[in-house]
Amino acid sequence: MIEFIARAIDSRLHIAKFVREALNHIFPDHWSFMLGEIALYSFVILVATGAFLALFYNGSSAQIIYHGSYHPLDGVKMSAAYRSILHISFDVPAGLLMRQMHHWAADIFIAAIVAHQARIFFTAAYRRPREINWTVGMTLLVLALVNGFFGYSMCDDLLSNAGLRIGYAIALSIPIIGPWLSFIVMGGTVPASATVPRFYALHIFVIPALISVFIAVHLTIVWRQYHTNYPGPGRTNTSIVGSRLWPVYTLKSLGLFMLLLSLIAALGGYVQIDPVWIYGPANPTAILPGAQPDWYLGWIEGAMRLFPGVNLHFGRYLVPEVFFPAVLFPGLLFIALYAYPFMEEAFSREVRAHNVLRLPSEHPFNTALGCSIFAGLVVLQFAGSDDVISVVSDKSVVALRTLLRVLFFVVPMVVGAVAYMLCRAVASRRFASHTLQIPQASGTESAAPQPQ
Amino acid sequence: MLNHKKRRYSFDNLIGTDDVAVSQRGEHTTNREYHRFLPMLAISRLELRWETIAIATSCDPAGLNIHLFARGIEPPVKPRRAWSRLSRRVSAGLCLVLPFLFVTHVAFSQPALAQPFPPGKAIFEQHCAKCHGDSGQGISAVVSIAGPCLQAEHNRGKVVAAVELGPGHMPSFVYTLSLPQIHAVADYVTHDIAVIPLDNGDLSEGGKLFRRNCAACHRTAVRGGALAFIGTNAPALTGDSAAIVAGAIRWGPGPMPAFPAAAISDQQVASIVKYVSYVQHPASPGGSPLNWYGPVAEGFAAWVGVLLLVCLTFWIERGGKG
Amino acid sequence: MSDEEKREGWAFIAASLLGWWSLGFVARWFVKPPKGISAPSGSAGSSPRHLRSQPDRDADAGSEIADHSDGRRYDANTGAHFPKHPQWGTVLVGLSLAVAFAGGIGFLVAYWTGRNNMQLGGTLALFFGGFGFALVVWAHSLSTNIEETEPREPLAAPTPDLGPAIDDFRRGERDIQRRGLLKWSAAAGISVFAAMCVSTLRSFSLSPDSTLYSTIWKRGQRLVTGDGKPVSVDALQPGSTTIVFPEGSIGAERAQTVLIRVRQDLLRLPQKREGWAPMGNLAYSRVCTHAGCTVGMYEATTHLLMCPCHQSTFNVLDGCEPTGGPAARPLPQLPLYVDGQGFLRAAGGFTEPPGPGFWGMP
Repeated sequence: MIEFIARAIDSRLHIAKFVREALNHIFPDHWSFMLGEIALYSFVILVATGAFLALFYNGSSAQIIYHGSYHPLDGVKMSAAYRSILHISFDVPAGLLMRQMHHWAADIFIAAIVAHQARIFFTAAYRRPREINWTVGMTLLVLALVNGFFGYSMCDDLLSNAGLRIGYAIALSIPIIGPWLSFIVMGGTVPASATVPRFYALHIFVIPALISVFIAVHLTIVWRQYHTNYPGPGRTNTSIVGSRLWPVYTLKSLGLFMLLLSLIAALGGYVQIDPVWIYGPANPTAILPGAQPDWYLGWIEGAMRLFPGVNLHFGRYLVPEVFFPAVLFPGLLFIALYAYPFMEEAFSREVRAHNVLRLPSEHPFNTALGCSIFAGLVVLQFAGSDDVISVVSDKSVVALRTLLRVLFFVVPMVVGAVAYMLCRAVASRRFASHTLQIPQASGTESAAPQPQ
Repeated sequence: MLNHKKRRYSFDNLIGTDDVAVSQRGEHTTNREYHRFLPMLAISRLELRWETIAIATSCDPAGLNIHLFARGIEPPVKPRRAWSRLSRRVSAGLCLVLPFLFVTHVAFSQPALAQPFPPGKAIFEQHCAKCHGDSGQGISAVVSIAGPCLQAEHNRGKVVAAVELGPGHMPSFVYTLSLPQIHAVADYVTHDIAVIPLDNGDLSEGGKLFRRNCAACHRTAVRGGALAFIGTNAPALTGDSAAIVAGAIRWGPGPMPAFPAAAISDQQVASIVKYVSYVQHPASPGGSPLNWYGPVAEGFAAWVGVLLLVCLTFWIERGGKG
Repeated sequence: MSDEEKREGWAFIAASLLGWWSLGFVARWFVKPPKGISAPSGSAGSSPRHLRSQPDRDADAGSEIADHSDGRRYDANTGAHFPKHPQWGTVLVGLSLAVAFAGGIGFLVAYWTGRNNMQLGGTLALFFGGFGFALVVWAHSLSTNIEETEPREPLAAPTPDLGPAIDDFRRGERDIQRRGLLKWSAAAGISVFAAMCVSTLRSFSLSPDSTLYSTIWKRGQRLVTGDGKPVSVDALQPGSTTIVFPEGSIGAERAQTVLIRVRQDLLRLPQKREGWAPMGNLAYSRVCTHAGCTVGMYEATTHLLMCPCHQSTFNVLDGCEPTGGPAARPLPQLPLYVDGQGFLRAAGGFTEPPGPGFWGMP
C-alpha cells in the first residue's frame, strides 16, 4: 500500500530523495529544545479552535438588544460581536470549550515563545549563523502579542473595552503621528464602530497569515542550518548529534503535541477563562477595577502604573506621560533584543559560526543581563496586578506602588549580581574538576556508554 | 486626622470581639476613625447576635423574656396542669391585649389625636432623624453625625432591638421611650421609612446600573477592588444581605459616596440588590472561576501549565535513556 | 442523583470497560517488541552515512549486541539503546491507548447528551492525554533510541557559488543601467505607487482634528442623569455623586461627566474658577487624562477621584489636580450655574479637551 502510494507520488514529483533526507534528518534531543515545539503546536491548536470560533463569531459592533439564554443580561444593549460570544458560550455545543481552549492556547503560545526565546538567549543560540532566526523569532513574538490583544478585544466586553481604551491612548500618545495612527487603527475616537470589524479581519486573517509565513521561514532556517547542540564530548562545530526524525523523534514530538492538547483541553474544561458574561458588554461609561490585560501585556500595564505623572511640553506640543512607559520602554527593549546578537558580535569581534551552545555559566555577563531583564519584567508584571494584590493581601495599593517602584530598580540589580556570581562559581568549579580529574572529564551522560 | 491603620469596611470582618472590647474600655470616644465604623458594627452585630432576640421581641409584645433569651436562659417551665394552662392562656391574652389597649389609650387620649400621621413619625423626627435623616436616608460621616440608612430596613424585630439596645454608638432608648413608643417607631420605620422594595428588582437592569455606578470600585463580580488613599479597599459584597447593600447605596458608609434618590431611584436600588445577590454566587459554566480574579490569575495558571509542560518535556527527553 | 443520571453513569462505565477491553485486545495485536534488536543485515549501500536506513546502519556496525551491567541492551558500535523492558512498555502503551479510547467514547457521550463544559473538557483531556502518553512511551520503550552523529556544513564562509551568482546579477544589472532615463522613470513610478499605497491609509479614518479638540459641552446645556432626568442643585447631598451627560447625548463617551457635591467650605478651587461650583456641585470629565479609562471611583472621605485602571488619583476640591499615580494632567472641569428652575446647567465647555493626551493637545 505504502509502496503504491509512494511510487505514484514519486513518479510525478521525484521527491523520494527529499523525503528520505527528511526521515533521516537529525534533531538533537534535549528538553529545552521542545519549548519551540510547544509554541508551534499551540499555534496549530489556535488555528483549529479559532476556525471553529470564526464560524460563529459576528465581527460587528452594531448595537442590539439581547434576548438570549443568559438571563442576567436579558434586555441589555450590546454589540452583535458580544452577543455572538454569548451565543458561542451558552448555546453552541462545545462552544464554550472551544473558546476557552482558544484563549488558554493563546496564553500558553506566548508563554512558550517567551520561554523559547529565553532558552536561546541564555544558551547563546542566537550567535552566527542563527541571528537571522533570532530576529524571525522576535518578530513572531511581537506578532503574537499584537494578535493576542486583538483577540481578546474582539469579545467587546467591559474588561477588554478598558484595554481597548488604553491601547487607543497609547497609540495617541506617540509624538507627531500619534493621532493619525490611532485613528487609522481604531477608526475614530475609541468607541468607534469600525474597531471591532477591523480587529476581526486583522486577528483571523492578516496576522495569522503573517505568523504562518514567519513560522515557515523559521522552520526552514532551522532545517537548513540544523539544530544546535549542547556542549559535550563529541559535540563539535562541524557535527550534529541527535536522533533521526523517523520514528523516535516523530513519536516523541507527536506525543508532546497530544499532551499539550490534553493540558489545554483540561484547562479549557476545568478552569474558566475570560468570563465575559460577568464583565458585561462594552460600555464607555462603565469601568471595573482589576482591569488587567492578558499576562503577556501585563508588564506594559505595570510600567504604565509605576511611571510617575511626567509629561513633556515642546512649545505648544505635548508628549504625554503614557508615551514613556508604554511606547518608548517596550520599543527600546525590543530594539535592544532584536539587535542583541549583532551587538554581541560587534563587541566580541567574533565572526565564526557557532553550532555548539554556550552554557549559561560560560557567559556570566550575558546570563546576568538576561536574568535582570527578566526580573525587571516580573516586577512590572506584579505592578500590573497591584490592585489585585492589594485586594488579596489587604495592603494599600499606594504603598504597594511605592514598594514596586523601588523594587523595579533593586530586584534586577540584585538578581543580576547573584546570577553573575553563581555563574562564576559554577564555572570555577567546573574548571577545577576539569583540571584535577582529567581522565574522567568527559560528561558521560550524553555520550554513548562504554562497556565496562 | 485620618488613621491609616488597615481596617476593612467589610461588615463581616467587624463582627467579633474587638468592637465590644473597645466600647467597654471606652476607647471609642478617643478613636475618631473608629467612630465612623460604629453604625455599621451595629447592623452587623444585630444581624448575628440579636436575631433570636428580634424574633422573641416580635412575638412577645411585652418584651418580658428578652433579657432571659439574651443571656441564653430559658424561661422557667412550670408543670402542666389544666388550671395552669388556662391561667397561661389568660395571661398571654392579657399580654397581647393590654399593651395594645395601653398604646391606643395613650395615643387616643393625647390632644394631638387629630393629627393625620401615626405617632411613630413624631417620635422618629424627635429622636432618630438627627442621625438617620428626615426620611431615614442615612447621614454620611462626611457630613456630620453618621447614621445608617433605614430605607431598606423591613425587619421590625431588628429595629425594636436596635432602639432598645443601642448598638454601636447609637444610644439605647430604653429609658427615653416607652415600650409602645418603641413599637410605634418600629412600625413607622418598617412601613413608612423602608420604601425600598427588596424583592421586586429586575436582574438585568440591576446589572446595567451596577456596572455604571458600582462596578468601578466593587468589580462586576462584586469581589471588591483597590482604593487609593484611605488605606482600605472597596469590600467584597459576597456576604452582605440585601438590606445592607440597599442601605449602603443610599447612605455611603466610609469612603463610599452616597447615591441619593436623584441618582438611583428606589426601584433601581432594588434591581441592584437583585443583581448583587445573583452575582454573589454566579454560575461559572466554564469551570473553576479562579476566585474571579480575572486575567492575573489566568496568566498565572497559564504559566503553571507551561511549567508542567516543561516537566513533561524533561520526561519525554530523559525517559527512554534508562 | 436522579435515576436518569444513574442510568447514564452505568452506561458510561459499561462503554468505558468495553473500550478498555477491546483496545487492550487490539493493542496486544498491534504492539510487538521492536524488530531492530537483531535485525538481519541488509545490503550495505554506498550512500552517505546519514542517508542510510536502519538495517544499513546495523549492518555497517556489525550489530554487536551486548548486555550492559545494569541489564540494558545496547549496540556497542552505534550506541543504540534498546528498551529494557519492552513487555512493560507494551502494557503501558496498551493501557494508555485504552484510556484514550475510553476518554473519546466519554467525549462522544458527553457531547451527544449535551453535558457541561467540564465533562467535555475532561474527556477530551483524557483522550489526548492517553494518546500522548502512549506515543511517548512507545518512543521510550518500544523503539530503538540511537544517538547519532553526522557532519554538517559550518555555514560560516560564503560558498563558491556566490561569485558566479553575483557576476550573473551584474550582467543583468548592466543592461538595466545602460538605460538611465528609463530607469529613473521606473523609479519615479515606483515612488508614486508607494505614495498611492500610503495614501489609501486615509480610507481608514478621517482627519483626527475635529473630534479630538472638541470640549463637548455648550453653554446652557442642562445636566441630565443616565435616565434623562435633569439634576437640580440640591438633588445631591454632600458626599454623594452621580453621572451626568449633556441633555440629548446620553451615553456619549467623551461627554460623560461626574457630578459630585461636597461641602462648600472645603472647596479650594483656583481663583478664576470661583462660582463654577454652585452649592458645592462640582462637575469633571469622567475620562481619565492618563489612558482614557473611566474615572469611576470616588472616595467621599478623602475627596479623591480615582481611576481603576492605573490608580491615578485626582483631588476634586482643587480642580482635580492629580495627587498620585501616573496621571500628569488634571481632569477637565465643567463650569456650572443654576438656572431659574433650580436645575444645573453648563456654563461652557470643559476647560480642555477630555481624554488622554496627544501631540498638539492645547
